[in-house]
Amino acid sequence: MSNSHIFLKSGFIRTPSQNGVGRYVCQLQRVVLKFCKNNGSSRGMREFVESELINFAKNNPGVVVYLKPRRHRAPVISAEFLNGDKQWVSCHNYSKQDISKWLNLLRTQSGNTTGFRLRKLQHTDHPSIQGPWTPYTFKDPAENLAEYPNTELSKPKIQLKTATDELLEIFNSVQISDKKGVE
Amino acid sequence: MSLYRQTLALTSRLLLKQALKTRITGETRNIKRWVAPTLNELYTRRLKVGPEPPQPRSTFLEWNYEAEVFAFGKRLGEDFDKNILKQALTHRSFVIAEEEKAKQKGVQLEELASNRSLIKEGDKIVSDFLKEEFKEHPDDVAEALHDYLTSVDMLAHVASHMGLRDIILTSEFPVENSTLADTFKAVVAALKQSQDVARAQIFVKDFLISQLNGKEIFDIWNPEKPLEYLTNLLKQRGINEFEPRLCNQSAANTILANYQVGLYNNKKLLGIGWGESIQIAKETAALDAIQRLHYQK
Amino acid sequence: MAGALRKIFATFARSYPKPVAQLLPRLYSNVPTPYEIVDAQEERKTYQDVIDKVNRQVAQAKQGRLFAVVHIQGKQVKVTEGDVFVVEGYWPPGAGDRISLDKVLLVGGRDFTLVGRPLVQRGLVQVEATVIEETLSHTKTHFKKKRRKQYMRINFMRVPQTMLRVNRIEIVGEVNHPSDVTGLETRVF
Repeated sequence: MSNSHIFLKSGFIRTPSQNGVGRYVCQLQRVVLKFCKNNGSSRGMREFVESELINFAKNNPGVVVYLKPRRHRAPVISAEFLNGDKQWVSCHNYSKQDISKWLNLLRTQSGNTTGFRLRKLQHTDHPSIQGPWTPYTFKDPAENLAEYPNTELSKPKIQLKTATDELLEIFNSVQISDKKGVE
Repeated sequence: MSLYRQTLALTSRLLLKQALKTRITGETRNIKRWVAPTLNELYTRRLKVGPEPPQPRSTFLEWNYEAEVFAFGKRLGEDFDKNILKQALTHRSFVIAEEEKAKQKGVQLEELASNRSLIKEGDKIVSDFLKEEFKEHPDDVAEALHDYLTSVDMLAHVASHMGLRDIILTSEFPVENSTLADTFKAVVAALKQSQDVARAQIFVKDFLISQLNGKEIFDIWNPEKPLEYLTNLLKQRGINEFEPRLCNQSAANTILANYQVGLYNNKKLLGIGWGESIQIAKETAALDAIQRLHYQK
Repeated sequence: MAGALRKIFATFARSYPKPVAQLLPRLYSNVPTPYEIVDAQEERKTYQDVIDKVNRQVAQAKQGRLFAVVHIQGKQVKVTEGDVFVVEGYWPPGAGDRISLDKVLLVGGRDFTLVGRPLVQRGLVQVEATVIEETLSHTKTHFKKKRRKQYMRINFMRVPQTMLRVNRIEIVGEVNHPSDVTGLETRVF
């Protein structure tokens, strides 16, 4: 069994600069598509640049797209986020659709989240609205005036009758009724 | 530093050339015994020089200032006038540096407008709007909130998360927080000039006031002596005295001692608080009472 | 003798239910819950009083911060304004979408709680949220092995995660006063 996730960096939900409280801001600020013009491993990237990149740029005017052809090197997407994070995705032998999906993922992310395990799937600054429970919450105020040691308050809250007690009670009641019967 | 790097590059090239020469002239073996030592040497030298100093993003090959400025407005969902926005991003220090450069080269420089006036205008818009927004808070709380939001660190945080850090034109690198804060103000003013004040105010509300999300008033504003503050506050409202009462206590004389104190006036609860000593509990109760009085909770 | 024994049993049976009935809320037993006859009018008066109090508080905007339990993607989340939570698995809304969470199971303020059966009255509460991020979780390893059976499988997966920011929780309707026609709140005409 692999336990590698235990050693991952972990933490809680982070939202850069309270995104979404006022308005939503796309956190991807620029993206550089690096590819080779004739190597086969860049084929998908070249197809993507030819057919889909224009639409991507049109739909996301807030993202600056750069193209960087480099000879004989593997295709790469390098993304820069508003919080200063950088992410690098290797696109070796990726198809056009793969690249489209990865680019879309980068667009919707708010930073480089690879290798980061979320410890909780929820974040709140107001954990309790009606007030957390304390030992004082449902306490009877009359108990404040009690003097200790107090035999009444020291008893257990639920005290069942013992078998002896019950038998004695029954015996007594029978005795009384027998007497009555005799009379 | 750069001189050292150049010499490093030069020596490594020489080293490689020499190694290649020996390969050609030396014995013909398929095992290239020169590769590992050379790479090792280069690696150790690389370590010795240390990491590269950070470079401004604008010096990179993939950089288009026009596109960056265009994307800035679109990202925030605002329509900026391009020239006004560019002016808002240009600091005085950059203009001076450019003039200096032009003088040295002996070239005539076209007029560059700095954002000095815009900063002043933006500062006023932000400040006025915050005062208007916090009108319903008591004066001292409103002032604390205003100071918290207009502090240099807060404005710089907001500005850098808008993506201003890379597109500011200034002579300093890395960009200082005060410059970032000033640029935020200038951008607000630029938005006002491009559109109108209402739009600029919505902008401030969405980006600056939203930073108060998840914050309590007492995270930002704290009276130094809560009990005295409460006494004064109650006097203004015609209540001359209040009575602290110990509501609950447990674990006295231990390190986990805790007390619950309620402040009462005429058998009416004003505020309730906890603490590890009675004095602290009283003060937290006073804070609770202040909050209840201020916000009628 | 036989008469005495019978009496013992009779008294035992009589004496038994009383202490058990006293302990009922604390102990489980198969003794039926004792019921009481409720005066319908009296009951109505009591709850109307409570409902009026809640409505008055909401009308005067004195309810303070509200929280709600919403049902989303088969799970329930307790949220209040400004919270962020994650929805796991494939979920169509995209980054930047503002959505309304309609399945509200419970709403509460400082002084009251409205519990739905199972949902609170439609159109009573508005819970709005913005999708702020869509990402993938860390790589999870799914490893299976059967000993001595030459069987071993290892799979890696990253689960889609969508982050939502809760923007607004507000009581817009009146408690216990549903509109005549329901079910049209989300329709667009």
